[in-house]
This record gives sequence, C-alpha cells and structure tokens, in this order.
Amino acid sequence: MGEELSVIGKSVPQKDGVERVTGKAKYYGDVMLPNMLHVKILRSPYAQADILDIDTSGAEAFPGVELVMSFKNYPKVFRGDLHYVGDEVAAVVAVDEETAEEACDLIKVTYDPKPFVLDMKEAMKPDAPRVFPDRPNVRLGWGPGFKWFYFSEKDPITGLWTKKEESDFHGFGDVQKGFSEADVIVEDSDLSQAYSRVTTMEPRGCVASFENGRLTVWTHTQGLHHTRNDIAKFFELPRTKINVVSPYTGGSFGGKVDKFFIPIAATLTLSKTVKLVFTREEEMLRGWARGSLSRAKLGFKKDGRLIAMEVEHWVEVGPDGDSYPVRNVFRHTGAKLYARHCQHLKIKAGVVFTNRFISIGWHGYGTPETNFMMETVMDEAAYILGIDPVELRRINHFRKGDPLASPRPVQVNAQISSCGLEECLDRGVEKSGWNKKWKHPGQKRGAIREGLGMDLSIHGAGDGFFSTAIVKVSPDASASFECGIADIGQGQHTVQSQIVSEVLGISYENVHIVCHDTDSTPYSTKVGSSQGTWHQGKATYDAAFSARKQILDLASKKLGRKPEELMIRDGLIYVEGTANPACTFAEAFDSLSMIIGVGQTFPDGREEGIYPKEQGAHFAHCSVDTETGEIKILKYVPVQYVGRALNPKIVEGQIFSGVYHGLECALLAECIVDPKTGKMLTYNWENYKPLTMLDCDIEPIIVEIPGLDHSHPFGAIACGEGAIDPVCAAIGNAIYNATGIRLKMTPFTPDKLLKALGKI
Amino acid sequence: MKKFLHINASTVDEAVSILRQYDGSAKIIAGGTDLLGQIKNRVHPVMPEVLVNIKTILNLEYIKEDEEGLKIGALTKPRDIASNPIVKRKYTALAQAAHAVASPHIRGMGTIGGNLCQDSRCWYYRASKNYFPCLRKRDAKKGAVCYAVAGDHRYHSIFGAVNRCLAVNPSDTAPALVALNAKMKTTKRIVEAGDFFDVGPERTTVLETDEILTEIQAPLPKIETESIFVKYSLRKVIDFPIVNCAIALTREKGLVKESRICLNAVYNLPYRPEKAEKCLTNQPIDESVADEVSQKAMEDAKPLRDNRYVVPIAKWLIKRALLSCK
Amino acid sequence: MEKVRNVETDEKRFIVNGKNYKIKIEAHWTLAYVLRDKLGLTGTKIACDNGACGACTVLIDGEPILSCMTLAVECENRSILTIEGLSDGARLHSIQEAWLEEHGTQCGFCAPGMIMTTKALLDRIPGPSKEEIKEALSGNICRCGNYDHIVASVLSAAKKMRGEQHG
Repeated sequence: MGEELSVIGKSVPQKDGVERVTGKAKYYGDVMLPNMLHVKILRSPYAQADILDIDTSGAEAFPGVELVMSFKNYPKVFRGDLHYVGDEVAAVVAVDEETAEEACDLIKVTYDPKPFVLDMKEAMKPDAPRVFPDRPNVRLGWGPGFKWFYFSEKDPITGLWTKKEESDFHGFGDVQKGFSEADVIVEDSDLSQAYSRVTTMEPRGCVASFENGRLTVWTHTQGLHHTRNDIAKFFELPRTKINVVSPYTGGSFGGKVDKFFIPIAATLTLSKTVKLVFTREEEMLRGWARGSLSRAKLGFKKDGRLIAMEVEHWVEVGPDGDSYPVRNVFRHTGAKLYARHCQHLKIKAGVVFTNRFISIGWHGYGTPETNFMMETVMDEAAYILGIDPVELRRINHFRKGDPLASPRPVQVNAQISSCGLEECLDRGVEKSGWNKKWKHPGQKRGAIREGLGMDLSIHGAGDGFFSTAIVKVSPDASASFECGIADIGQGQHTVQSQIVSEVLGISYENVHIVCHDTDSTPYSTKVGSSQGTWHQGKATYDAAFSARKQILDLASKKLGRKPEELMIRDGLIYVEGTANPACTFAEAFDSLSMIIGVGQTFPDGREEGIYPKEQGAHFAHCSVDTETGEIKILKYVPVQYVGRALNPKIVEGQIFSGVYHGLECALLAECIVDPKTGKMLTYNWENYKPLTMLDCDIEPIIVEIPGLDHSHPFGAIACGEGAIDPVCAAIGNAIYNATGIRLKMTPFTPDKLLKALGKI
Repeated sequence: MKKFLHINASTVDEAVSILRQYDGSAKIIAGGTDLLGQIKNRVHPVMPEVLVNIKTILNLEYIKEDEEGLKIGALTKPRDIASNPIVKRKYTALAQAAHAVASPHIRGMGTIGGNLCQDSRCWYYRASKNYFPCLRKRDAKKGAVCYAVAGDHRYHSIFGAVNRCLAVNPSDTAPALVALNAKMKTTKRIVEAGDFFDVGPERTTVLETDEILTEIQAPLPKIETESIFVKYSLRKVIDFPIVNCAIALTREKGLVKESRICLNAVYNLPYRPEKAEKCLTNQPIDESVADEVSQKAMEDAKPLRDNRYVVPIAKWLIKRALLSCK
Repeated sequence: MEKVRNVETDEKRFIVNGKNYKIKIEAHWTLAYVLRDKLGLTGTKIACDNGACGACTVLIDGEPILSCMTLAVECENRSILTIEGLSDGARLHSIQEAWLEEHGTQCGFCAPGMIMTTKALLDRIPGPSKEEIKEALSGNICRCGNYDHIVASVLSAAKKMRGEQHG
C-alpha cells in the first residue's frame, strides 16, 4: 500500500453519530422493558461501622417489593462492614423507584459506629483509626503480590543493568553516590493533588435480565468482554451464557468501570429484568482518584543534567479502591521521561486507605499526580539553576534509544518507539510566545500579574490484553466487521472503521461495524491506558489486510497479474499505474459470496522491548489577581505528539477533554467532606463544579511526525490521556512565574493564593 | 420524588385560601427550580403534601413603570427583567442582577419572586434525606445545631449568625432591590426590601405560611442616580454568588449625595454596610475613596477559619463596583 | 404488581413533536420522566437531575426548558419539542448535520440538550456571534470538554439555516 491515504487522517464523521444527534442512541438507562423492576440501595450513614443486625421484614412486606437484599442473603454482594458514608448496606427491588425508596426506609439496621479517618496525612499517622482492622492504612506498592525491583551494576559495554533484586523500592544505580556527585540538589515535599473525580454526563448503572437460562446485561463499559468475564467469574456462570450489551457509553474516562452485581444477582434470583440507575448523588460516591502526597529530590550538574532522583509518592484510595495508578509513578521520573542523563533513581510509592469513597483510577490513571510532583520540582530547579524551564526540559528528556527502567520484571532494555518532544517544545514555544513573553517573577508588578508556565508529559499506549477483528467483505465492495471495542465517546468505532475502509480501499460509508454486544463480537481489549487505537487497531488492520490479500489473490488469478501489481481504490481493482479499473470485486469474487479476514493482537504484541508513548508539552499563560486570589487562564496551548492522527477532529476532541479535566483539577476540583461525620458535601454539580463553556479557551496543537513511529501500521500512538497529565503543573508553574508563589496543593483556589500572599 | 397533590390556582385569593387550608403543608410553586430540587432530595423531615401552582394566575407577570416607579409582577422571569430597556437604563443594578442569576435556562424558567424567596443553599441544610437535621429545619429538635460551625463553612457567613445559623442568603436580585430601596408587596402588606429577609425555619423571608409575594416596587430614581451590580463566583455561570454587591448612588456636582450599598451571600440577610455609606457621602469617587469605603464596609466582618478569603474578595468587589460608576 | 397510594390525575393531553398523547400521570412526575419512561422518547437525557447541566433541555412553546425540573402536569396542552422531533423522517435537521460534520459529539450524552438549546437560539437569533452562542449554551455542560467543536457546530448550523451552505 502506498502512503497516500484517503480516509486515514481525515476527520470523517462519527460512525454512530446519527444515532447520537437524533436521540436514537440507546444508552443503558434508555432501556425500558415491560415489567421491569427497579433497585434502590440503602446506604450507610456512617463513615465506618459494622452492621450488628439488619431487619428487612418491613421492607419485604411493603406492597410492590419483590426482593430485599443484604449481606444475610447475598453475602458475596454485600458486606457487614461499612467504610464510607454512602457505603452499600442493603437493596430493595420493586415495581418502581419510589416504591423501592419507601421500602428502604423500612429496613431497620443496628450499626456499631467506629472511629474513622478522612485525610491522607492523618491516616498515615501510626495512631490513626484503621480503615480495616486487619491491616495498616499504608500499603507499599500497587496491590497484593506486586514486586519492586532495584537494578544495579551496569555493564559498561552494553549499558544494561546486570543485577536485579527485589526491594521495597524501585530504581537503579546508587542515589547516595548520585547526590554526592550532583552540583545542585533541589527538593520539595508536601506536593499534593486533591482527591478529585471523574465526572461523566451519564450516571452509572445497569439493566440486567436473566431469561431462558441466559443473562443479558445492558451497561456502560470500557470493555464489553472484560465485563462479561468479570460477571462470569463472580457468579460462576459460563461466559457463553452472558451477553453484555453496550453500544453507547455517556462518558467514562477510565473511571466508570464498576461492576453492578446487585441487579445481576437480583435478576438471577427473580428471572425478571432489573434496572439500577444511580442518582447523581450516588454517582458522586464512586470514581475518585488523584489524591496524592509526594516529595521529590533531584540532583543536577550545574549544566542542567539531571543525574539522580529520589521520589516518595502516596496515593489515596479511599477504602481499598483501585491502587494500580500508583504504578504509573515511573512515567515522569528518570525511569522514562527523564531517562536521558538520570543514572540513579529511587522510588518509594504506595497507597493510603481513608474513609473517603472508593477510588477508581481515571483519565491519566495515576500519571497526572506524579506529573504534578515532578514538573513542579523541575520548575523549581529551573529557577534555582538559572536555566530557562524549556531548556531544562530539552537537556533532560529522553531520546529514542535511551533505555527505560520499566517496573516490569521482563525487559530491561526497553525503549520508547519514537520521541516527538523536541517538535512539541518548538511548536509550543512558538504558539505561546514563550521567548517573547517570559519574564522572571521578580520583574512582575501591579495587582494583576501574568505568568507563563510549561511542562512535559509522557503517557503510555499500554499493551492491551487481547484484541480481535473479523472483517467480512461482500462482492459489492461493502464490508462489515465485528469488533468488540467499546466506544466511550473517544471515537473507537469511527477510527476502526476508517482503518478497514483504508486497507480495503472501499468507501468509509460502505463499512459497517458490528460492535454492540459480546454475542456478536470477538474478544476485544478494554479501552484504557489509551491503547484502543493501537491495540485493537492492529488487529483490525491485520483482519482487513488479510481480506485484502485474499481479494487481490483472486483478482490476480482472474487478470493474470501478480498480486503485487494490483491495488484497490474506491472499491475497484486496478493494475498499478493504470487509469481504468481492471475488475470489480464481484468479478474477482466470482462464485464466492463473502471473504473473511481475521486479525488478532496478543498481549505484549509489540516488537520486543519497543513501547509507543504519547508525549506532550503544555504551555499556560495565566493572570493572577493578587487582591482576590483569582486565577484566569488567558491562553492554554497543549501540544500533543500522537504519532498520527487517524481522525484529527477526534484527536482534537481528546485533547480538549484532557485539558478540561486537568483545568478542573487545577482550579476547582476536590472532594469536600464534613469533618465530623465524613458525609460528602460535594454531592451534586452545584457543589462539585464542572467547567462550563465560558470558563476557558484552549488552542490544541496536534504533532504528527510521519515516518517516525513504526510500532503501529498507520503510525498512530495514542491520544487518550496524555493531555490531562501536565495541566496542573503547567498552571502551578504559571502562577509561580506570575507571583513568585509556589502553590503545592490543588485546587488553586483563591483562599490558598491569598494565604500564600499574606493577605489573610 | 415524594408524592403530592397539585392544584392550579386561578386567583391569588384562591392560592392563599389553599395555603391556609393546609396550614403549612402546602407550598406555592412558581418556577419550581428551587422547590423541586428540595422535594427530589427529601431535604426536609416533612415534605409538602400540596403544591399550589401560581403560574396559572393571570396578571402576575409584568414590568411597568408609572409615576411612582417600577412595578414588577412576582412571576416575571429574570431573563425578561435583564433585557427590559427601562430596567437596564434606570434600574441598572436590577437588570444586571437578573442577568447574573444561574443559567440562561433558569433565567427563562424561574421568577423574580422565586429568586427573592429562595431557600438557603447551605450544603448541610440541603443534604438529602435530612442527613443534617439542623436548627433551621421545621420542628428542629431541642439542642439542634448549625453544622457549618464545626464543619466546613467556606461558603458561609462572614458577619456572624442570626439565630445561630451561618447560612447565607444566596439571591442575586435581593441586594439590587435593597440598594434600589425597593418595596415588596404581598397579599398582606408592603415591606421595605431591607426588612423582607429573615432567618426562620425553612424560610428566608418574613412571609407567613399563607402569604404570597405579588409585586416588587422600586421608586423612580432621582436625577443623577445610577446603580450597579457585580457578582463574584467561582464559575462564570450557574454558580451561586460567593459574594455580590449592588450599589445605588446619587451624585450632585460630582460628589456622592447619598448611597445605598448592599452585599449578599456574606451574611444570613442582605448586608448594608452603613458605615461605608456614611464615609462615601460628600466624596467624589476615586481610587482612595473606593479603598476607604471598601475597608469600612468590611470592618465588622468576623470571618471564620474557612471563609477568611471572602473578605478581600468582597472589598475588591465593592471597590470595583464603585469605580465602575462613571 | 399493583401500585399503591396512587395519586393519579385524569388523562392529560401532551402535544409532543406535533403528536397528541393522552395519558394519566401522577402530579409529582417530571416532564423528563414522562417523556422517557411513559412516552418512550428516551432521547432527552437526565444527567445531574438538579437543573445544573442542561442535558434534559426540551423546547416548550419554543423556549428551552429543563425538563427534569418541570412538572409534567404543568405542561398539559403546551407544544413540546424533543430531539426526536427535530429530524423529519430520515432527513436530519441542519443543526444535526452540522453537529456530525463538526464533531459536536464525543460520547453524545449532552447532545440532545445542546442541540435543543441551539434550536431555540437560532430560531431567536439566526446569525449569532461566538459570544452569543457561548452565552446561550452556557447552561449546558459537556463533560467531554467538547465545547470548541460545539460552538463550531452552532456556527455551521446557523449558516446552513440561513441557506449559506448546502445541506
């Protein structure tokens, strides 16, 4: 195939866009079935309590109630110990929501309230109340069974670490030696991103129906097949008895990946359809993350080379939520982003339990808070060293070929497939006017001061799990393909269709994607870690390529030409270099009714040791009103290197999404609880404030460097999450540049600035 | 939502008689954007059994000016007040305040009466299922407290508490009407705007349970009078104010002859900093006068641990409002 | 199973997308609930359910109204337009076409509310400026942060409706 592309790289409309703009798209909450039952959940009024007794008889007797569930009859679904205000105590399944709600009021519960802890720092104290009686509030690493490795003894010839030992820390080299060789040490602590949440338009929930021995579940998901597996495992059902239906998800951003075992358990008992839709207040109980407490110590040579680094990073997970985000602390350290000169690294990281709502890593998945730590201290270093912040990044960011010290115990000679950071920095400097506008904070005057801040980021394109595509081509040059990838608004259904269209040489309009449920699709990786396009895309490409090859083989026999001499354009087969089509698909197919191509991508499906990574450089221009503490974003320039934008408008949308969420975290977002009871006070969109259309202007720049990255057939890397990672530090660095005040805790609200300015 | 009976009233008298008949368990519904939220979330221990719809009463939605001044029917939408040419030109603070209310949708659905009579937004008071049975709930138990005192009070009063409640009055139009020296006409009486607001069980005005606000009256402005309204909130739309400020002043030969300044969202009631008004009298409006006035206005502030930041913001807002007057 | 304590009204007439519906409702039902759960018009979405996001916007007599904060019983005999009523069979409205071309949707959940608010705006102001668009749509939240594409969609829709573009 030549490099001239007809569909890839074009902003073709969403494949399922018509349904979305006409209101015909059925999200799970739109499923309305006859005689459907509804669930309401009784929730804990206490931040920490045991259930001593629960009497559901009043609820069971209430007219219209079909089932009352608690840990007594559903011990796998409910617990007798509660760990946050709003934790699930019991559930009522009834003819409608109102009946279920009234019946919930009739459930009598005897609680034994216990001491609780609502703050990370408090929770880390040795005498803090324990969230779980059998374990401390602090746990090293990201989950049971994790392993840390320390690498040492570098081979002087190969440059690879030869010794690998298990340790409480991750890292390499010898940090003591490294710091002793450094000319300048820069360190800071108490860097903290606030516990904040993924907020989606669509609230969580599901509809479940067990009928004729089969379970159908309509829900939002980031992985239809993953959700099916989880349900199968939990309820010990064969996977083939379950169909997960999810054609549309109203936003997810990594944080809406819950499993809804309550309605599923109910339908398995009742054999009736059961619906659970979270209210907005219930929705606010789940999907928190980011809460972090970090310190970093960096050792530099006076020419700006970063040679040694020590990092300590703790992440709040509420009562034992998703702790995997901790693992992504590596990205912005000398293990990856600053691998260029860093010879010595030591990372200690782990999670902290509190009684503040279960965390689910979202949008950035641990990376934003570590970026905030690193890029704030890098910015401090720039000022201390007297080196321009952009220059300092240029000196230290990784280059292609620099070995990475990934936490995986498999590869030590891992590399990133391409580096686009130089281009990102150049474009960002130009668009933001950095060189013209940057001034030292000492030169700023007046009540309203402007400042410029910047930083870098790197994000994974993950390695996915397992992806498949089955492409079915008809003699009329139309194709449908089965692909179970979830479209959560990030455009997967569109982009995969573009790949099929491009490879087969047929029009985008004549490609149909079959994607709505697990029954009709083969296994697909879940979308997460921004790897949908990359991982599923390779399987889709291979499937389409296989079909294409079969078609050209048939055509070659018909035409008496070698397949290499043939090409497809607009659904017709041509001999290369000729103007008129040589034959149609129908002529090539002859008596065949359909050609099928199958493609699969396996875990670790990349070339050994080569990892694609999305990269970015963000530039923020802010004004700070030193009388009111108000921060205004005057201009925000996110520059993202994505390999290739298969659909530029979709990529742009992804960047908007990341930056908006990042700005919220920087300016507004935090989990506010009543300190006496642990009850959430940010329970609606009045108190937890999503940014509106009036609140910011973003000018995204998409960087594509054709031919640079070969890890994906079309050169795509990823564009899911990279744009959120660097936002808080970019804003924080701009505030410093404006005022000389270093804010180390998000959100950067007026009270924090006024306090730091000595005004209150 | 809890079930209720819904009755369309065709006259004000009918509405009043239904309220009397149900003696506290009936509430009027106008725009409904406050009340329905409360019912959905079961905010109060006892929810109303009857809603009396007053949108079906004719002649409660109008903006007119006569020799006495501006008269606005209580059902008039903030959107229409904001865009009315007479209000914009002569009662500017009110037009600006009406424009600052919530969002475009709510400005078209809500009413000025509702904006004035709306209940407090305190996040303890508004917690669903009456999680915090505070002292301002009806039939509050003996010993009931204001939870904001020991809790998170970053959006609460910086001037102390009336009846031990720290919740602020959240209205945008209230301070404008106080500054314009307006009067509120109800089914029972006419009350000065400054006396209309109160802190009672589940109410923020002096209205009795069988009393309805029907008209807002603002006197004709004197010559050389202008007014302005400014609002500070975290987001540029939808948000309730952290602090807002309305100023009406009359000048003679460049000096301020009289002024009315009203801040809201900083106290349980719209707040008139009378000391500040005094020090503005006979002064020109310039930077140093504006500074002094804003300082004086906040002299009696007694902010708490979480809301100190409001004081400099309020000062700045007053200063900005004053300096915007030509 | 029978419902209990039924507070049903008499049959109420609703005119939705030009069609007459007559159903018995309960006084406390919101318009959003009746449209979605009783009339099967699930295009209108409920997101915050508190009047703070605009997702539930429908037009009543041409005005953009938050249907989750409106009682159905108060909408009797009024002309209601939902997202389903915008297209004419398979023929999309210009606003919907513009939305597709300019990628006005990502996840699509805010789209019905955004589009209906846009319809009300363009019926009132056929050639709005960017500022007027942002002001009119400022009460509509998009959690995908797609605001720039949405504004571009509205500008394009305005051109189409004025006949300046094919479509």
